[in-house]
Amino acid sequence: MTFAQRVQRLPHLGIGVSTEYGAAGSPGALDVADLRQKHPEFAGFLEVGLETTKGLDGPTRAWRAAGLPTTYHFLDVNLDEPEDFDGPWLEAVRGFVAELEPAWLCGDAGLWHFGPRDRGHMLLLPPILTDEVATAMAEGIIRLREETGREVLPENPPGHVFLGDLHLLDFFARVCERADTGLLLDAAHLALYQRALGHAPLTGLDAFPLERVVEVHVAGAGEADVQGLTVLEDDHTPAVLPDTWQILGALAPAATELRAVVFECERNALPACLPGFERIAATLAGSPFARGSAR
Amino acid sequence: MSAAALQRVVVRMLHDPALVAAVYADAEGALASDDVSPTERAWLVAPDRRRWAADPMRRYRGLQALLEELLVAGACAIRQGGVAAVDAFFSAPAFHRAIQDRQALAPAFARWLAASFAPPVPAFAALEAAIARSRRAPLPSSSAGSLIATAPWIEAEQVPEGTLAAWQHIRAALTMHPAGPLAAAADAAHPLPAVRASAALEGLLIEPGPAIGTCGAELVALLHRLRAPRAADALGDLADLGLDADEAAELVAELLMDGLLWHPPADSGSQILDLPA
Repeated sequence: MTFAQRVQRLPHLGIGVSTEYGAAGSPGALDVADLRQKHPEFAGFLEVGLETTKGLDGPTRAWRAAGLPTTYHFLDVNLDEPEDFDGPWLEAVRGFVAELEPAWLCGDAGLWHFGPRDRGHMLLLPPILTDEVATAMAEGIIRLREETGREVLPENPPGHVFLGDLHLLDFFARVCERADTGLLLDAAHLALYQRALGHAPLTGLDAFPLERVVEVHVAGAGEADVQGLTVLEDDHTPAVLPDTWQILGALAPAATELRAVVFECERNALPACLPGFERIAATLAGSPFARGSAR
Repeated sequence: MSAAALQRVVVRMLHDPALVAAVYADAEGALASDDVSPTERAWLVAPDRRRWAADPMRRYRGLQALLEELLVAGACAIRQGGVAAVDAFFSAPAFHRAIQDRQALAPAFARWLAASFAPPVPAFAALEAAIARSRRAPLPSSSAGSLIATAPWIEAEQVPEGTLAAWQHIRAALTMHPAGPLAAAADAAHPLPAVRASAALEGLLIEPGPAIGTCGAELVALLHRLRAPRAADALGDLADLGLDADEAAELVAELLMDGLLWHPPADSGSQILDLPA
């Protein structure tokens, strides 16, 4: 089956939130159970950031025990490195898939660790944006899809330094086409990329196959001064950049297969996050996504 | 041209401002030994140079992770040269080689510490690197075959006499710091027990846990010798360890029973040393 056929089987998850091991324990962190109770329209699912060596924390297990929907966001695989798909890691992933029963797998398609997967080696860097790497990334996505039996949606990673001869959106268009898959488009990461390269927020978006966008992330970003240079940090605060809202607004009418939107604000209290949730819903009102939610 | 090689250069530059300066001054010269093309070198110097320093905590996080495993060796090295002398690892050829060759960083750091600092650092680095290797050893699969080898989760080291006792005392002293052992390692003012140098040697046997005990030099030599799997009927060359054929067979049987040796699968020779010793 082609992606266009497979995507019709994916559930419509609506607006949701993300977490990773220990995030809920941070001071003032978002209480997903409380969010679900008070604003179920903003807690349609939980995106679980997972490093296989750390596993699932208590709040995530409680969410799953209640039978609520999840997606599995990997945090520890370099998709373009065949040697990274080792037996013990794949076995662990399959175990977590069985436990979470996620609607799909997703995660940043970049460098999650240097050297072998090991303690102290973890980081997150964007891929080298070349045609060669797009092919290698696509092969990894196909492999993980076959190994887990779930859709695998690559996500555009954040970064401060981007190298290669392709625009990030052109790179991911090639990845999606070659893996015949959908995309998790992180609007905040895209905004950071466009700023870093001196582009306008929507540069390249008109040429991207937006019907491949299955999931979108929205998150805040903060400014930092580096030796007199202002750089943007993907800090997951509720302070969303105007560029990110502009990208979400441009996606809304054209992302016909959009199934899920995450507001990444896991370490912030609910009152601080509510305006962001509400603006996401307002921006997507009347879009194919909103019509899918209504069904 | 290799994107993987280029990505590893990126990792190195993000950790090492000295490399960033060298690449921006003369990319061809600075990366002469790396598999990166002229086009890729041009990409490396295209961003505003300050972007490479956007995460000022990256190197400290890296050092923290390494000190978690090489705690006593790192603490003693800091007492000799300060934190900056240990942090210098991230600008050392050993760091750059490890990243470029896709090697684990902890063993590279251990070797660098041993080569860069005076006793007792080398002995503690050897012990803590052995613990790190034991911790990462692959879980036992089937142990039935005609080959015999040292079990991958077993490590043995020969170090100056008194190393184990001193290491235990220093670890205990590091835990007394109100901010924890890592803070103690970095705090050169935090007192550590003195270590007396000894010319005599002691053998250490490291098992998962870690459980560490002393052993004879002959056992260390035997376990090192049997890192490479060999057929059970090819143990005759252990005479230089002071064992005749019968004694060797008896000892091997005992060590198999104790779990220090095992029967690896026939194709497992390459997986035994997951981390370079």
